[in-house]
Amino acid sequence: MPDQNYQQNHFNRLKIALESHHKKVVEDFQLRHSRTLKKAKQHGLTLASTAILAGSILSSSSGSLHTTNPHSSVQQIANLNQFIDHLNTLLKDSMNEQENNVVAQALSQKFGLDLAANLDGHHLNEIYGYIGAEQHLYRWQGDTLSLHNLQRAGIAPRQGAFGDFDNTDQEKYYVAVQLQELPDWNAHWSTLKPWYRYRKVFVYNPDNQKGVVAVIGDAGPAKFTGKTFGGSPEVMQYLNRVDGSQKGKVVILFIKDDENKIALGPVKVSDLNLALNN
Amino acid sequence: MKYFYEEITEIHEIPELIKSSTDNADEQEQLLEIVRSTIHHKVLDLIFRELDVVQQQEFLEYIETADNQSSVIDKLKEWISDVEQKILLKVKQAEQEIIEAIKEENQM
Repeated sequence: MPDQNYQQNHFNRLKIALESHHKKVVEDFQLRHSRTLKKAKQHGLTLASTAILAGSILSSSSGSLHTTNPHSSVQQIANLNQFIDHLNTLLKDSMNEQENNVVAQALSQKFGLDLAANLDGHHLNEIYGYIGAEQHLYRWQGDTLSLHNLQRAGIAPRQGAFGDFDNTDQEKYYVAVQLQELPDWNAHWSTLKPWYRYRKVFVYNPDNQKGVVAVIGDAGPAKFTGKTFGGSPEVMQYLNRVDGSQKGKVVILFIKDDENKIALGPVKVSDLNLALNN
Repeated sequence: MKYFYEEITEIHEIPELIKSSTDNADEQEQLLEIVRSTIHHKVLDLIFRELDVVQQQEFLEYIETADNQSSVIDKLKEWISDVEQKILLKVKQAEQEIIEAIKEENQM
């Protein structure tokens, strides 16, 4: 029976061999069809070229842990940054499942998280939309605004949809999503509500590429507001998002974190660390 | 993400080879993802070679707006004769190339 080191070395060598083959195929493809791909981009055909680019990045960066070539790492960072820039052209209202998955893959890669638009069969109606500013929420009985930071945001008159928070960070970094608009909410709210209660999500501002880990802490905003999400004062401050006429959009994706190891709050990304860790 | 070629064919031999290379499910998935992307590029290359410039752009537009991947194949049938057979053959060829790469690595 081969020992663990042998197996790991074998896996690494096999991965490098497959990546090398993949790289050649992708380069041949891009060289041969550069005019077509360039033209597609000029016409704003985002998905196909993005998916192609994603394919190249996914496998090229996944090998960087075992590469010792610094030029290769720099190239991977450049590729990923280029892709993230390109991602902004993909984001639009009412994206389909495939587009959602491309976005989730790209942001997973960028931030080193395991993100998904669809988790355990659950998905939000939209992963991209306007975010409005929410007030603080009472965390538990006896809580007062004076015990929160950013007090100018005020505090809502009632607790959030899930009642007491489990800890202070959950209220600090919470978002509101339109649970009431889910197609099966009215029929299955009793089973959906526990699943969404303080579910970890990743909130991403494509304009400044800042991301924060938060929980779903409330239901809302109402559809007539034209907004899709709400953010706690701390979430909005970190993402540099504001309400009103200056409001902007964010991406919200579920985080796969079965072992509950991912801390709530801002996600700092070092491009160098990213390349070395992927 | 499911690639449109996977609507009509699946690879069998490579997943088995990968499973024999590592017991770790995450590692298997990583390797398989590289393989799927490689084949995807090979199939796209085939399609682009069969289409003229206008059709290529139409094809990319179609992929962008298609509700499901099976309709992409239907659309390709309008332009390319025996496209399913051609894709099957290309996938098979791509799979063999990858198997060779794996076998070379296993012999090292």
